[in-house]
Amino acid sequence: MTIGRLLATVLVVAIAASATGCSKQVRYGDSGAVETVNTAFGSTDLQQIAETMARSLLQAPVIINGNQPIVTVQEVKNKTSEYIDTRAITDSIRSQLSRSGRVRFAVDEADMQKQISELQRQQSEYYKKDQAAEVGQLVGAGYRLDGNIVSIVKENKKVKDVYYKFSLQLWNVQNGLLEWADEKEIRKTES
Amino acid sequence: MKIAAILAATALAVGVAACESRGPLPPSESCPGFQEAGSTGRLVKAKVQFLGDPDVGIVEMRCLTSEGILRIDIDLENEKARNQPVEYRFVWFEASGMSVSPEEAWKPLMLYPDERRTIRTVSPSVNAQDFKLLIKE
Repeated sequence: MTIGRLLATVLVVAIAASATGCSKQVRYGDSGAVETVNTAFGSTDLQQIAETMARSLLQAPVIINGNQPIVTVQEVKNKTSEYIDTRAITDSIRSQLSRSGRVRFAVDEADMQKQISELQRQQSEYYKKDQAAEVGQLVGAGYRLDGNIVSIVKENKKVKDVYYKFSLQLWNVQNGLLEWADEKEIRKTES
Repeated sequence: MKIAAILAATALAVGVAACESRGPLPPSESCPGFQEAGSTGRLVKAKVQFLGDPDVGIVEMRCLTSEGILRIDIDLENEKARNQPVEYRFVWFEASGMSVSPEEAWKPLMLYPDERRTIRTVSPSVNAQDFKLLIKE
């Protein structure tokens, strides 16, 4: 075998091997499975926080004793050093509370512009007047939800430790009283 | 005739008194299915499913229904003499036996050697009146 043929054979084998190595399998997984890829904020953290907060809120006296109180969701501040979509957390909390049937939600600040745009659109000449939504009928929330998430990260050459604390509060819009508050702590360690 | 009436009234009074003295069931006997199971051991078999082979024991289950919401405390025990990471989740059912959607996510739990730990939850809605606990390695 000449050196040229030998090189060509080695090249073909190398290409075949790399092509085989690249063919990764794709499969569907369990969206509720515990995810521990790294210490960054992940799906399990989001799910745990949302469930804990929603279940805790369901036991708040103002929810138990109220007749489907109306709540609006305000911003949850991300005070960690990483990007966290806190809206995804509050959306999950809102979904779980809505499904409980014990709380109703008023349009929040973030969606207000969409609400006004739709109202204005229905007021245009293209809609039947008797079926168009009226302006001035929005219902104000009796309570507002807001909160924050903080983290403490410590690491050395061997270990990285991340501590998250998610805090949520329910405030009475009328009198400014704090009606309910709770926290969820999560610790993740990578070594 | 009068004697019969007096006897009937006495029997009724005794029956009512017996019911009154019993009072509400303690939380350890208030979980759905306890009356049918008859004991904590049989209730655990009916309510808890182990996936894989986690070395975890169930010591006690306590339930309390308040304002339509079912509160549950379950005491777990690590039967290993070392740290044992496990995962758990609750599955909820309506009174009709239909499952309550959506499924809960798995929750990680680190049990220290021989530790006894209480996991707590409440039902997601008034429709969720029964449950099962899944525990896996």
